Parts: sequence; C-alpha cells; structure tokens
Amino acid sequence: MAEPSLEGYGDRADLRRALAVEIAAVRSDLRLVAEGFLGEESVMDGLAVGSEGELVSIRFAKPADDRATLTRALADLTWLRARRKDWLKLAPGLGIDPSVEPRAMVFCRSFSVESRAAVDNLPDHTVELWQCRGIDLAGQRRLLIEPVDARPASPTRRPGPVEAAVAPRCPETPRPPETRASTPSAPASGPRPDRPVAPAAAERPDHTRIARRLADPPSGSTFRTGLRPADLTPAHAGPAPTPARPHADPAIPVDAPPLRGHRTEAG
Amino acid sequence: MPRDLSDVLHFFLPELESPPEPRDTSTRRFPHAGPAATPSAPSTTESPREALLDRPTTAAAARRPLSILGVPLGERDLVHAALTWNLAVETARQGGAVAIVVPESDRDSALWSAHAPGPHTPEILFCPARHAADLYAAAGERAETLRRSTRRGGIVFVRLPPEWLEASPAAATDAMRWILLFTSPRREDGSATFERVRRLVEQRPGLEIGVTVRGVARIEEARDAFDELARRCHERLGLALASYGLLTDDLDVYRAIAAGRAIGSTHPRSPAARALVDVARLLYEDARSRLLG
Repeated sequence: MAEPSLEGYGDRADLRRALAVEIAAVRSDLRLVAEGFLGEESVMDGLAVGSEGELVSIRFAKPADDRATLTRALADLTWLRARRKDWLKLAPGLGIDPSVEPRAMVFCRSFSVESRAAVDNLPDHTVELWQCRGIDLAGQRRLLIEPVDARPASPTRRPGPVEAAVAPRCPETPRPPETRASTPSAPASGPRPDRPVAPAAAERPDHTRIARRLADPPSGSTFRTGLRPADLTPAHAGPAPTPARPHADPAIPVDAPPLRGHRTEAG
Repeated sequence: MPRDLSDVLHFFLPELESPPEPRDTSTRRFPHAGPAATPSAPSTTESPREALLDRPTTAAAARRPLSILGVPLGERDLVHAALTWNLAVETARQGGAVAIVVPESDRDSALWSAHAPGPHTPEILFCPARHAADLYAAAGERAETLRRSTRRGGIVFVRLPPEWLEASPAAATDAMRWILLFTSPRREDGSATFERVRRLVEQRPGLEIGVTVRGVARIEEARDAFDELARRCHERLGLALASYGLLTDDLDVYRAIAAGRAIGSTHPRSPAARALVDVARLLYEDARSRLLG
C-alpha cells in the first residue's frame, strides 16, 4: 500500500531502491555500497563512496522531518569519519580514502528555512540537500530528485569576511548620509554616472562562495614529507629470490649474517 | 618546475652561511691576493648553484657552528642506529657536513662497527664521555671544526644513551636543543614515544623535538601516526612536535644493514632509499634554517 510520507512507495525498502536508481542516474560519480546501513543509533538509507574516496551518507526525510534527519546526517559524518580506516582495511576494494572527509546527502520533499540556513554554515558539499518527489509516470512510480541551493534568499544572512570587506566598494551599496552629501553631483538614487552600472545579481562575483571557501576547515596535520604515494612503490618488481640464493642483491655477500636477534627499542 | 620551497631554498640560505674557503693555492697563502682570486668570482666551470653557494657571507652567521641533533638510541638499537647512520650519509650526499658523536663504549658494540667505508661515510667520533654533557661538549667542538671547513652547513648527530638522557641534570646539557625520535604506527610505540617526549619536556622545557615515523608502507599510515602523537603532545604538553617524514621498513633496509652499506648506495631506487633522502632533506633544511637563528 502506498504511503504518502514515503512519496507513494509501499515501504522504505522500495523507496531506497528507487532512490538508488535516481542517484545513479544523476550522480554517476557515486557508488552505492550499502542500503539500510546502521549508523550511530539510526539507519542510513544508503552509504556510498564518492569519486575521491569519500564516504557519503544518504538519508531520506519524511515531510516536516528534515530537521531531525539533518541532525542524523551530521552525526553520520562523525560516525563515518571514525571508521574510514577500519573499512579501508576490511574492504580495500571499495576505494575508500581515509584522508577525505565524509559527506552526506539528505533527500526530502521540501526543506525548512532553518535546515537550509544550517547547511549554509557548512563547507561546500559537506551536506547536500536534495528535493525529492514521487510521481506516477506511465503507471510506474518514479522519484524526481533535484539539488537544493542551501543559501537562503533572506538578506538577514551574516556576511562572510570577504563579503563584508568587498561590500562597501559595490556601487549599489547604500552609503552613509554624510558621504552622499559630499558628492552633490551624484543623483539621490541610482548609480553615479561616472561609475559603471552595477551588474545584475547573477553576473556579480559570488563573494559568499569565496567566504565560505575560506571558512573550510584547514588540514590540521603538520606531518611533513616530500614523498608521493608512487615513491613508496618499488621501482621494479624483480623475480622473487630463490631459496638456493637468499641474497639476490650482489652487494650483499651470500654468507651475510642472518637478521635474527636484532632487537629494537622504541624511541 | 619547483615542487616546493625546498627547491629554491638554496637561493636564500648561502648568504647567511660561513665564508667560503679560497680555492686557489696562491689565495690560501696570500689571503689578500688580486680580485680575480676572490671567492665572489666563481670559476666558469661551476654551475649557477655552485656559484651562488660560493658567494661571500655575513660574518655574524659565519660564527654559528653546525646544528647538533641528539638521537636517543639504546645500546642494542641496531636498526635505529643504522637508520641514523644512513641519514648522516644522505645528508652528506646532499652537501652537508656530518659527523656522528657516540660514547666510547660504543667502540665495542655492533652499533657502528659494521659500516663499510664509502665516499659519503660519516665520521664517527668515539667520545670518552660519562654523561650527555660530555657528548655535547665533544659534539660542539666538532661542529665548530666542521663549520670552518664547510660552506653548506650540516649536522652533528649525537647518539644519546637513554639512561644518560634521563639522568643528566638539565643545567649540564644546555647545548641539547634539538632531538630526533623514531616511532612507528603501532599504538604501543606511539605511547612509548609520547612518554619519552613527556619526560624530555618536563626535564628540559623549550626542547625542539622531531619525530620520524618508521615501519610504514603508506604515507597516510605515517601521517595518521604522527598526527595522533602530535595531537597528544600539543594537548597534554603544549609542545609543537616537528615532523621529519617517514621511513619504510622493507627488505632492502635490512639487507643494507646486514651488509653494512648505505641503503642509498645499494638500492638507490628503492622506497627505503627515497624515504631516507626525504628525511635527510627535512633534517638538513631545518639544520640550515637554525643557522638563520
């Protein structure tokens, strides 16, 4: 029986399968590796591995349940982060890169302003919001999914450092009264004739994006190396030494002492 | 194309190093010879880098001796001693002046006896020391001597018996400022290294401690191990741990150790050799940076 809160699918499993099909269609870089995966306390609808080896939690939210689901998705990031290395050992074939931060995708019919505003504080692509709607198409139930811009249209958003620094230079930015009074030739409203006309909103540089990029958490690692992963792979794989000639290297005498008994001390 | 800062660092460092020794025989006999023999006029056969390295330097920096790096090594710590010796070889190969100062008691041990001579074999000085201060006094003298004969800086490695390190009064070892520790990704080694760092910092605040992670196969493995140790040191001790890269633990290392040869000579293209070159580069760059004050 179809359930409205599950976008018309009979049960959660049907919905997950449909979601997997649609995600595979629009995000071919994601590889879904599990459905119904138990996280910290609740079940993720899907678990995927991204193109950079990052783990991606996928959650579906019933209408008006997006806030709670978003909280669970954020908890998934912490839970997944702690298990990346273990999973790499358990399943090296999945292509997990433990150095890449996990991400989350939340699907819902509609997201509240609070959910969007909350996601707007996170670094780009950490949590993606996707609108999700079930429709009947030629007698078959389908899901329509579409990414949601987390940036709220409300002007009450706090400006980022770059945005704040650049804003006074923008021609359309209201000036203080004393500044206007000092330029009597300028009209009371509209752009000054000696300045270029302000570009349309869509053409303006997106300082918000720049500010958010600057807010991305820097890598906390102070580890130093000039090596690349390829440097740690043998340059040439020669034949395995035969038991009759244990020291294949001509620089080492055949009667070189064995390595047993070498004791190392920590530190 | 330059890969990182280290590729261009030599353009800046030589100006602060010691003045070059005159090459011409007549210049050695008569220091005030004609302008054609001055060090600032490099020969045409030199590379641009050689020419830069031969430029005259400031007198202030010329008074600075070589950096002294203390490496705590137990008397049976053959592998770490061999790695230290190989780091000295690689530092010498990169142009640095090196020496290894060890206690006289090491003369009869297997720590340094099996190394075959070679073009970059470091000098090993057996010092009749009874505590760490004696070792550092000998190392300081050697650093001063090497300073006069080198234009590119270098490192004097000091083998510190762990028991001396913990027994010596702090006042007697003021020269001890820079320490290198080896650790591994194993949890117990990380804990042991942290304990050693804690004791060192408690006894000698202000010590600069660096760590090389050995026995790894992947960079991420070393990074995780170092980050965990660095986090603990920062949170519990307020210490900023320096990273000196990683060393692999493959068969080539043990083959070279068994043969008493430098790993970079016997297996120059092996991951172990590449890692040694990288760690030596980090140490050498830091040693030269320390000359800047």
